Amino acid sequence: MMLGGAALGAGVLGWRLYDWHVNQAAVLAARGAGELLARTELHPRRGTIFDISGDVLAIECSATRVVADPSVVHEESAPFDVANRLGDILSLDPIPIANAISNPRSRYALLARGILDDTQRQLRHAVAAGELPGIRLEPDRVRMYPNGRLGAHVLGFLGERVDRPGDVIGQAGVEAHYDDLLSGSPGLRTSDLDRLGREIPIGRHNLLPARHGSHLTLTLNRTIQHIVEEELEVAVERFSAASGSVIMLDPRTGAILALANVPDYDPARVHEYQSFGPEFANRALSHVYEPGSTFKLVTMAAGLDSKAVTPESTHDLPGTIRYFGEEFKNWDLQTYPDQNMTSVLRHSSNTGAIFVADRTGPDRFYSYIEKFGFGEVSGVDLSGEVPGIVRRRGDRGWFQADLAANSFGHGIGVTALQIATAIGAIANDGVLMRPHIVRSVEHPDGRQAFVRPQEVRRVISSESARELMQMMESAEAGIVNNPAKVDGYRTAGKTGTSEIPIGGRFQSDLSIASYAGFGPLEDPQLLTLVVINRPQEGYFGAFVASPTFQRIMTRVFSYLRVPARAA
Amino acid sequence: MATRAQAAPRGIRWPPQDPILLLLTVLLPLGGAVMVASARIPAVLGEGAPLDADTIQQMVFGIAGLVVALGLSAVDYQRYERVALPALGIAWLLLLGVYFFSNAPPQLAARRWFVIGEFTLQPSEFAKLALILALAKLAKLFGHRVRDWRIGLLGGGGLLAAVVLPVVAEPDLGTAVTMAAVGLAMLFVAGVRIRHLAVLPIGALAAGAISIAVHEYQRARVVAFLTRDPEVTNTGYQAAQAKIALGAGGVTGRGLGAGTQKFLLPVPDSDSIFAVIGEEFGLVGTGLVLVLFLALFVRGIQIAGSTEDPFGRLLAVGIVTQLTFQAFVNMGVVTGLIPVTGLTLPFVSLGGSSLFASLLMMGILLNVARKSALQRRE
Repeated sequence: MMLGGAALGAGVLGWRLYDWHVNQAAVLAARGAGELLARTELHPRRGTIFDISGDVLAIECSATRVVADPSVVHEESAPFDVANRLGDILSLDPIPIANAISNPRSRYALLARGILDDTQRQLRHAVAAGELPGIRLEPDRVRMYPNGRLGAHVLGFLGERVDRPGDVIGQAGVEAHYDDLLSGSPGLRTSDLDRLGREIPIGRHNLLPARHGSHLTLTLNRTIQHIVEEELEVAVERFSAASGSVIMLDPRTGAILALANVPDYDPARVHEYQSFGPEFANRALSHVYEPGSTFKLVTMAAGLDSKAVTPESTHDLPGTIRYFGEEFKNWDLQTYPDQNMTSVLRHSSNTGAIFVADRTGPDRFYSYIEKFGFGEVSGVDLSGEVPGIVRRRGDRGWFQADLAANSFGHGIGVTALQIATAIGAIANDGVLMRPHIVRSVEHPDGRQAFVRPQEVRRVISSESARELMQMMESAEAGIVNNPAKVDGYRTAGKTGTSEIPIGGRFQSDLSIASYAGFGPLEDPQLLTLVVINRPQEGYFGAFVASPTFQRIMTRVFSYLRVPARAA
Repeated sequence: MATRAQAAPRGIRWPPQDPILLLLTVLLPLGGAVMVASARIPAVLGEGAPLDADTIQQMVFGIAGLVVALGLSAVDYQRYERVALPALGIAWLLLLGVYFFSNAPPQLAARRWFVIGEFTLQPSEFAKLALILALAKLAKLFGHRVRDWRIGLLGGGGLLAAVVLPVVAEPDLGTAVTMAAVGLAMLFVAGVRIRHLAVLPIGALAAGAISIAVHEYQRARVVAFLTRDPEVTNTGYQAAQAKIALGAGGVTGRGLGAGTQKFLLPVPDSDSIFAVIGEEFGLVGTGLVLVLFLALFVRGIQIAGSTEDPFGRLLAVGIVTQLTFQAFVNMGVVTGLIPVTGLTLPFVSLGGSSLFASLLMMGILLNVARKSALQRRE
């Protein structure tokens, strides 16, 4: 009987063994393999952004983040004690910390991110000494901008990815435009892990290393950027302006040496801003405005190049004219009889510009406007650029009178970058260059790729460009006490003043004052556009923007050791 | 059956051994030591040495146990008759003592151990052997009178209950069930009427039910067993992982040391070692273990059947039942036939004192075999 019982027991056991070892083997083995395998994403290092001299503008640093297991905090201490101690070390208000760890059943709370240096060390000591029960320190990464706000609009900033929380994505400027290059691609480690999360040595292991991000070297020069920002801030403050932008580029290549807007922001502290206000806009390429008289250079270029006028063409520059039913005036309402084309620029005569545009004719005029790059994005490698608004003949809402308004920069929407690029074409022998901010890319494997300056197209002939430059120079020389005059250097430029339409009507006391100029004329290598928006202590470009141009050019010529003209 | 008696060299009176028992006595601990070493891989992970102190201790106890077993095989088992009853008395006092005065750190809130310096003493291990000796002695003493219900049922059953209930109370239900099974088998062989014996499992069930109702972890084990839900409790998880281990092993296994389930199984070197065997040696491995224990049982019953002395006969029955029933429960747990208990696989699982105790019983059994008609006939 006992042997029978044993046989029965052994039989049942044997049947079960056979069932599991043989019948269900495949299913069970697969289930087991799936349970062990853990996938860990390996974070790539985001590429560093350098200025043209190799100074760091943006870099990823390893930091620490503070994580709590509230259940342990409650078990081993009191949330308020822990919050007070943490608040001490982190210089944070302990109340929100205490709130975050107030639930004794919760197992996870993120308390602080991006902790660096001394604070990080203090935290380590406190945790090691057991002063912070239930608090863990985990590795974190933080994007550092060592120059603070410098170049904020060029660099942009990072925000959390929507598709992969915990990961970052560039949300403006270079960080956004080059996000794919900078961010690299994550790696993947798949391995069999035991219950404690340790790798099983005899298990499966597969490592696909992360591809780190590429480093970018910009055409931006940190020192020039600093000069530009300083002078722009001074101007905006002095004239109580609402905002302002400066672009400095090398017209020969389209390389942007500096680009600044006021107001600006601190890219490292973006998360502390309540909302994305106007300070986040890169106005130089996202704000559309009426360029005013700076646009007369485009009109004159079109006239000269199409042979509609020559520098010697003369006209009466009447104080007021009617053109297809609309009345147009010179800014000073003065009539200057029998003047040549240089005088149109010197007096910044609206009626003179109308004369040129009319001679050129709408078809040719708008074709030049297009060739200069208006009405479409310049293709700069920064995010947020807009194309502006150009209405040509045949477009809805275009009237013949618009030709007259457009000739002196009204009734047309441009960005500061378009003006700088277009006038750069005049300085560059008539060839339009694509503006760009990245000079070279260093890939993680060490390969370095330089960005070649890109010609967009020839806009006007070399002769027309030279003629126009001479006209600009002599027009400026004819202005008494010209505030744009850079001592020791030959420069040329044009002021601009445009009224601001509010609700379809122009308000007479608010303007956008600008100055675009370049030099030295022997070989123009610096072009600066200053745009001051809504100055309250001034109105005209010559008064508001020209001094800033002069100061910036003087300082940058000196910094770059550009030889002064022999006196 | 062959015997080496004639081959023994002169001068040393090496007792003629039962070849099957001898083979099992050597094979089981040897294979066990290998499996313990493999199952300890997760425990020694990152510690540098492939064998840790526990594995080496297991081997030392195994060798010492083998020497003692061979030594005891030469010791006349009838000598134990005199110490049987005092031994049970001491065991019973220790069981009561451990219940009231256990100084072990609370583990599952059970009071099973005395801690003496570096060692732990588990009175129930000792009580297993004492119970077998005492029942054998008493059965011989009372002879045919065990058919009287007052002796068979009240005396035998009462004695059994007196020893088993403190173990239930510790609580250590697995050990208690094993002891009860051993006791029943012995009473049955001793000649107690089956209808008397039938009363005992009812009492045992009642005791078990009370224990399960009182102890939450036991209830969880039963719930996990009934629901088959690996998420219910840790024990459900244990059963699920064991099942995967057997499936992953297939027919021939993944090879010694190549199993990965031991990284997930709780106590792979002890309660779950049969699952490790299943993953690394497949059906061949687990089948072999099953066959070895079945062989032990069959041989033990054969020895008992050919032993005229009631004390020796019951000793043999008690010992083989003890060893094989515990093995059956352990294998049953791994294969999901029985709710999770803490019972180890005799000879194989990690645990020096348990291994030593098992080999000690094998030594006694070897001596009973030597005296049996089985030997004399050949």
